[in-house]
Amino acid sequence: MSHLNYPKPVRKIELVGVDVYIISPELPKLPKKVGPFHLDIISNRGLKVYPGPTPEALCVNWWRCRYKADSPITDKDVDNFVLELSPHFWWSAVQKLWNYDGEPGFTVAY
Amino acid sequence: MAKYTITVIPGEGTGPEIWECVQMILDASGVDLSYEYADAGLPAVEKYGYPVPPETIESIKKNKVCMKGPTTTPVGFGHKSANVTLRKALDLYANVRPARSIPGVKTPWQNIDLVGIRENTEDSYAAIEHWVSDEVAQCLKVITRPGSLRIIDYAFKYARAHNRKKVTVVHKANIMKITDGLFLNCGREVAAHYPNIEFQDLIVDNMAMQLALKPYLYDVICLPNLYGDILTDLMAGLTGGLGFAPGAIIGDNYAMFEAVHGSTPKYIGMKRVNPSAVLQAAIMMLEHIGEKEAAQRVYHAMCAVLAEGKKVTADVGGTCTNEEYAKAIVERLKAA
Repeated sequence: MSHLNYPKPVRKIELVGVDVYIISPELPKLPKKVGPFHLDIISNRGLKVYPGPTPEALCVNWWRCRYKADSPITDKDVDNFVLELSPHFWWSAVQKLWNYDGEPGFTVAY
Repeated sequence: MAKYTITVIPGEGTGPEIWECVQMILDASGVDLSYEYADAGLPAVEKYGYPVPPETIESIKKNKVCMKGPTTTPVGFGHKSANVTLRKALDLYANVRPARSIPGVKTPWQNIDLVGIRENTEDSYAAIEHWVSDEVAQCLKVITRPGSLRIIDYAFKYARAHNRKKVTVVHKANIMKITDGLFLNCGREVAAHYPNIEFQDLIVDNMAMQLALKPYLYDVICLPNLYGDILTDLMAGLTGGLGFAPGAIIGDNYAMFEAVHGSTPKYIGMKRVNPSAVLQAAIMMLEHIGEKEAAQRVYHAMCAVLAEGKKVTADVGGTCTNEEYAKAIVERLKAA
């Protein structure tokens, strides 16, 4: 439905990964690979804490863990990803990551 | 070997020429300082591919204190902000923004003496943004209990250390009942530990109006990141604008001092940009390292030159270059 006469640009949407938000008092020890996904980055309050050295920063018990796909994926792969992680980690939300016209539709942690 | 070594990021645009003015004054302050220069911002992107190279972080970690000139961040595209990168890498969570009336600087208000304490690492600045459909973008506003407690506790400690009487905690908890409600409740919790300092809370829109109508009623004002970003500039506007607005960004281990203004590239080489904001940041730096007496002398020398109004820059009605203004302050320091 369009209330205004401004045509919405048509954008090519491609599923490329998933952000899973995990509740843990410490940096969660996550598998590097889950199905077609690899662990790309973990951030806390927007600050990258994995990979690389852990910064001298306040961390809270809520970690954004970004998994990216090595090959083309579908929603079913995300379902399986959640099923595989869920018994081992307490998570609060999962956000699919899409590229729009080849550009990431998500920000990168500092 | 100097008593203090300071990491200096001269910055972009007119940043380096402003730093030369400030260094001239610091050199006349009698404090034994040496400077270690480091890159950040666009020059670092061109040289290293990212806005803050590891060498810069290491230099600040070694020296604990940094003076930083303005750096440019592209809007809506391009490299990440050097400022935000530095804040996050060094966990500089408290942005201290004094707004004090200065003699000779004409503003609608006189005798203003406010200090904004802005949380500087979370809120909508946590870099968690997603396109969640092809017509909806979202940015997560992250307010945490540890992050809120430490900034509000910092504000009360600041008030106590600077003999201030009141801390006003700013929020929008009537609408954002969970996130801003958390910030407000942390304010109440911290305030209970400081019975000698008055605690007040204000909704952010009311705070903006009160600052426009009765700024003299306020003292230390503690804000979450986004409200603080906006209202500390409003406070700067009450006392002479960004040309006179210094800032410090403080963490538990490191501190960075800077002007709030941009790099004003259109004035490069013209020596007309007022260095008072960076100079006041340098005065805050002197206080931070324990050189309070020198900080007071430099501040009074600056105020005396501004009040006299003869050797000041064009933005405050003068005809002098920033170099001539800095030399006038140096002369005052030598005569004192």
